[in-house]
Amino acid sequence: MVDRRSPYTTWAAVVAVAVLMATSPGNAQEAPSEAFSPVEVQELVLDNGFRVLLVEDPRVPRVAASIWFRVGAMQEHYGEHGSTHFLEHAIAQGTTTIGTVDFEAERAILEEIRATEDELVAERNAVRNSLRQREVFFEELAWPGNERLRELRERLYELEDRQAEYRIHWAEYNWYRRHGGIMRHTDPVPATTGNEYMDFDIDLPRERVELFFRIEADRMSNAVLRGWEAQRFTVLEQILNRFNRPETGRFSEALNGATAIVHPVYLTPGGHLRDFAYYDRASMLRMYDDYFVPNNATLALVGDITMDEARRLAERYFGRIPRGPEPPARMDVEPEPPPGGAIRLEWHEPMDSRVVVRYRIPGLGHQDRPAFDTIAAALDGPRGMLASREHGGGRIGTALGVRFSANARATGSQSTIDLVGRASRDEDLPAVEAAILEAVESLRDGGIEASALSRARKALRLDWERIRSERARLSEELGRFQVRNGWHVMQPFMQARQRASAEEVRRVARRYFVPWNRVIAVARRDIDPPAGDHLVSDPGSGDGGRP
Amino acid sequence: MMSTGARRSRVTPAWPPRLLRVLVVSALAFAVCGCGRGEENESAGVLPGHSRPVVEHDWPHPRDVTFPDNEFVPPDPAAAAFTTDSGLRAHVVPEASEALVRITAALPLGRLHERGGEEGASGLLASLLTRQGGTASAARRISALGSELELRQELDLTVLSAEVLAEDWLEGLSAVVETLRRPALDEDVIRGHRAGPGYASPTSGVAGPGFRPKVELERLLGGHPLAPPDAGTRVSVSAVRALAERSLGPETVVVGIGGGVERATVEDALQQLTDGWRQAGDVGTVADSFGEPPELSASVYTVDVPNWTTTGWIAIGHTMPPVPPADRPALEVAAEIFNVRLNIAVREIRGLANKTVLELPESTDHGGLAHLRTGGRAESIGPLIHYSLEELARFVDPEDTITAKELADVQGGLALSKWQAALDGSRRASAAYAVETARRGNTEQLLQWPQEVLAVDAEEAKAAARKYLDPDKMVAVIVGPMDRIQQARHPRWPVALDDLEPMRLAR
Repeated sequence: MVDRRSPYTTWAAVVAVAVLMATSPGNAQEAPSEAFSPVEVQELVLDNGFRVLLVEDPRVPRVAASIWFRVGAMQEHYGEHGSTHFLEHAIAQGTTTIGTVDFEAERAILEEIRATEDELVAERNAVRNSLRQREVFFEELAWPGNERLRELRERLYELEDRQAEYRIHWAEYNWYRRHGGIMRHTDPVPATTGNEYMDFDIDLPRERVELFFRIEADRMSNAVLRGWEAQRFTVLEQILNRFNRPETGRFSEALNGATAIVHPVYLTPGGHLRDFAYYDRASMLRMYDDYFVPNNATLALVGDITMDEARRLAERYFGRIPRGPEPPARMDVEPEPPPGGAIRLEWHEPMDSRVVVRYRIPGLGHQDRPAFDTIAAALDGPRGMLASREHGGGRIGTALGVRFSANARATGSQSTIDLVGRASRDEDLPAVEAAILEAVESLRDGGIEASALSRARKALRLDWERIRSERARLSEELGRFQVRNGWHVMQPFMQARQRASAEEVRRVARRYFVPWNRVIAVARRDIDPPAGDHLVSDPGSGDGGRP
Repeated sequence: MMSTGARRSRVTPAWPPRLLRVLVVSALAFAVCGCGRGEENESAGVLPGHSRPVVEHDWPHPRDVTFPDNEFVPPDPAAAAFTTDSGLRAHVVPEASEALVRITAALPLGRLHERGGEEGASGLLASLLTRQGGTASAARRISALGSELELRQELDLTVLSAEVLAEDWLEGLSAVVETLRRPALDEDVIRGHRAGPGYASPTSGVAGPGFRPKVELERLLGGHPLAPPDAGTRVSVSAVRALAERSLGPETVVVGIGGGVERATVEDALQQLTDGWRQAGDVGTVADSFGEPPELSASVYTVDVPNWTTTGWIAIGHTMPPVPPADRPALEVAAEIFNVRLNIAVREIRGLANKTVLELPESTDHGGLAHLRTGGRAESIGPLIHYSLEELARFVDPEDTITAKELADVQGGLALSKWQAALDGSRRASAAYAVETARRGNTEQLLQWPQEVLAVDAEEAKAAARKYLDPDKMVAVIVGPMDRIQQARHPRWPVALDDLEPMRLAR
């Protein structure tokens, strides 16, 4: 227990922890699919606000570590969409002590880079009215500019080339790798940025976990921007990869755009192509200085490590970093659409035939939210309620070869559940849409089948057991819940979705599955694409901002 | 250890004098630098563009930190091994604390096992084993347990796996074993089957076996069985049956079971499930080397995908002969080092692509297609090919040297990261042992891997690279919007595609 009045608690305040999950008297009689195996989460909060969450699991001598910052696409400004994701890459290029052979030499160049970029921003402001987009749409990768902007950009390249003489590439990544770091994805930037968070995560041998504290404390406080201009295009490639697939790019973004009026939780993390031209170091460093402070960070550790060990390391590294000013605390809201405002989106770019029926649902932490995971699990897959709807005397999934899926998005803000049917033929789409809407109606009428509910509960229990038994996944869930709502919500949520009753399903279905809360999107395989004369500004003309 | 209940963390306050000194020094530095007075950027403690000072510290540099010996010990494969009376080999790795069980079945089934007239049969047979199908299908039974039956197929190996709750392990194991023992070879499904194009989508990213440029390169360099069968290929019922006869037997299948199970119970179940299972025929492969590619008239080929995409995808490679076990560690080390250099050259320095990776063949003898896979916006395509091949040429140049740091970084990654990840816990270890036994008959190489990797020196890695990778034999296939790619010029790295003399693939 913390005694904050004690002079000895200057460093840390702690708290314990505890998720007293529910060992109610009835548990012994629970059906297996309702059984819930809790984990014991310990919590430590340093005096500077840095939070440590820890679950001990000594079965394998390794530790999954992830550090979470409450900053994501929702914190971006207009004209800089994708800047948080870009920042993730920008601060993975080393620090004042890592990734350099002579930082003092670099520092002088950084001053020149700043001055040059100031000039570039000033020039852009000066010619803003000649560069701004006046057509309806912009040409992808056409970055308007003028000769002066080109010269300044060229100068920035030259300065970065000079800076690169002192640079050690992939320094942090290679230290992690040398010491056995397992990274969730194979990218040299071991991080993820979403709408609501950014995290860096590694799984290390237990005896080397100090490396994580060393590198991440440094990254949080002393990151140095290196190779910025090349990064601009590397990150852009990730975005292009998404945009070039309609289902993950344009179609998805249009669907999100139709879902909300103002809420930034529907922004696409990673941003927009044109914005990449306008990122500048100064605004990104403002974001870094604002949000990368110990009082906005949570470290989630799962594995063969005790809280005593974690505390010693946390105090040595993160405890050294001064508490920062509280990050901006903007609260985002979405106004309720008027009744009768059901939206239908007909997509005119050829892609796989599909119907998406989307409803808005509450965010994590709301009492109604767990049941939507139960609903998604009951509807999902080739054996789910959607695929099982009757069609021509058989199951529609089999009869028409339709692949059905259901997914309830997990965010702290308002969210969505998507019911999707992928058909092999366009002409089956009306039947697919009808089947989805019939399934929704049956949920509203309390018609969830006992077998579907039982299967859903089992699938959710399996999912929780996977989270509980995989270090990296548990570390990830702890961090995500912490930034979205609070880590202590994780287990009640997991338990509640596993135990949602037919009546609870009916109740939330009646409340949320109503037409004015719905968006239906239809995409077809055989459809004439738009005419070739796109409404872009001047295709192929603009690369003026680039050397 | 996971347990129920809660525990409070007790704080032992600490205020070591050294720390106090650092704080005082930091505070002084903060005061001297003028922070908080609106002149941060002019101060010595604030980096250009920042609004807050650098955090001064005495943290050791990673190069100066030494760590205790690594303690990881994988589950003992000898203790896990078990063979049924029918000849089925299994690895049972119990872990009482686990609430889950992973069931894996690995068997020699892939394109290399297809004989004349059987083109496409391995993929179709694997699909039949795992399709939802009738009431007795394994996929349906696993689905009823809230899980999914997963399928992975390589040139000469197929792996089926599922993860289920511990209470469902017997039903899960029965579903997997019974589908292999009594496969539902639905004749209507076989007759209606036509081989697909072999790739998932024209421009779907760098990952996966369905990466189209790789498939096109395989077709160009070897055709079947290096490449998937051509689109539209029909497979006869007799071909599927013949392949099933040869591949699906108790002595060919290796099962892994790891997690919350008891060994004795699993052994009893396996005995019963395999009792009377007839042995399979000769499963031998039909091709054991892809070392001699055909004579080609060009080194760059293109496939036009004219749609709204702005990105082109590339595979650059050549066929590779089998790699003897003695050469494997050095070749893996070399490939990893090259991958770092390659990405620094094309990604970090030039910003041409998000990811570029050299992949070695995954077949059991490591023969097959060695290739680089990458992709980027139109203006990047020419430079990506140019600089990738330039980097490879530099890497195999005898004058070039591998540094001690490069070697140590990669050796750590292979020995401590990849290897431990494959054997991390009872479920993964059981799967890894099953796959390794299906490939090589035992787990010896797998267990010796860390020592073998750590024993590789720079010269050996270099020699392996020169022996197996040849930039002069590399052939590139580009898939994408070719008009756009042809016209594009990168402003900083203007390598025109025309300079590479591309030849359009007839499609």
